Amino acid sequence: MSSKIKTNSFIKKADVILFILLLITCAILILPSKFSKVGATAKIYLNGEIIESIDLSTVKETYSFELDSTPSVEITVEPNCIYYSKADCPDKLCINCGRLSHPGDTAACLPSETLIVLEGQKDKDQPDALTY
Amino acid sequence: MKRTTSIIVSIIVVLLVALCIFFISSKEEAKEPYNKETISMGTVVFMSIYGEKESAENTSVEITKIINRLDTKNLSWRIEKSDIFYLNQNFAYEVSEITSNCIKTCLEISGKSDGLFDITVGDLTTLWGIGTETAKVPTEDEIKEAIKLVDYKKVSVSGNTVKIGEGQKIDLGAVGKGLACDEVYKYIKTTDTEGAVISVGGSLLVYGKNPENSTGTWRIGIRNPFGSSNESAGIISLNNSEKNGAYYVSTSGDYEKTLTENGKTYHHILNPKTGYPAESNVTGVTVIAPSGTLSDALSTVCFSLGYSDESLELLKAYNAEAVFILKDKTVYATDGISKDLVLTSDSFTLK
Repeated sequence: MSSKIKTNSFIKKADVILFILLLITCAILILPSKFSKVGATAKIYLNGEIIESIDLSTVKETYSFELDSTPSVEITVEPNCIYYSKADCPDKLCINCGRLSHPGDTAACLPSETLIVLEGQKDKDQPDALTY
Repeated sequence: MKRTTSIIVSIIVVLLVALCIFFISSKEEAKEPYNKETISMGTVVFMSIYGEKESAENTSVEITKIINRLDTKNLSWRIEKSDIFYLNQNFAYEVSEITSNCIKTCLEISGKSDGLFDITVGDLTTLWGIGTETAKVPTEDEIKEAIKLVDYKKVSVSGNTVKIGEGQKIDLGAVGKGLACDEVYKYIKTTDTEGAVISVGGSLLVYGKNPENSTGTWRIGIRNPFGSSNESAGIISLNNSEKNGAYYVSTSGDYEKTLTENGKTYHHILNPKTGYPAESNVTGVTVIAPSGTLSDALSTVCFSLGYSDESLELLKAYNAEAVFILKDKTVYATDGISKDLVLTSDSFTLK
């Protein structure tokens, strides 16, 4: 009887140790990969080439800059957000794209051949592609 | 002894679990797509290709070449040496097989839509110039003059030789992006690509299985016509039953290319009969069809016809499905797709 109790007690202890070890292993292996891709990186293209790459999660203050394109366009960067703020193109579709903040968001100005693409881990509810 | 055995077993179990987790997370990393964005055919091309990185990168380079070639050799009426450039100059020309097949499909749809879809609108689209630097609202006389030349019945195809009426100008802009998806499919199915979504200006080729989803399903967003350009009104779930299967998805909407003059906004989808932007009860139509050429052409026609019996009959004739977003924010989906559609915005009502 006494031996049975001892065995049960040992199994319980081992279970707890095993459980904690499993938790620690899972945390070490999974957590870094889950948190390494938070936020979006804005890639700015001019004539098919990436000319600027901005990690939006590190932006603290709002700033704007003009691209060396024809027609000229101005891009504004805010914490976790980027957008076309001025453009000399005729239809201003690029400005109408609004603020980009989620990985997968894009805006283009075809006359100036410029493009902003936000890269990073997509939210689960975001679609794989958008038809428009 | 028992205690030592238990500890050894515990360590082995922990190591096995750790190995499994490591294996699963490495697999997940390998499931990330290779993404490429470029401007081609006067529009934005996005590629999201799943497969081995170097192979996916090579595939994206080849796809870019295919789309550029299609534009410069076949479709563009602006680029000298293209099939359409020569055809518009000479009114008869032996074009490539890709171009002649595309024109044949367009003529068939023109017939079935009683001329609401017409590729002889070249002069009319140039006159409006919506989406270009010369965009303007033409005078009524200018429009009357331009629509005199619009008549698809004057176009004939014999073999690869296409003849058009004198003075007519062909514009394949309404099907170009869809045709590009068709040409990309011919190539991508010969590669080891596991799955891909290729967007040519919003017309999509949805190829193979989605490796990021256990069922292989792709989630395709339909742009919210009343929201910003990255906002979805709804999401369609598409799952290719075959490894090399493909869906073709195109959308026509009145928000994409516009011209505002004297406080009035004009969109780029012209009614070939009136010469003015098409007006119906819809603000956007998304079509899923057996080919990109069809999805592109049918979305244009269904936009002009609106949500109507005529649209539904036409879709049925081509084994196509559609989602109509009406101006009053009601949404209608055809029977074959309604179960796969989920609205993502509360402002819409699915009927």
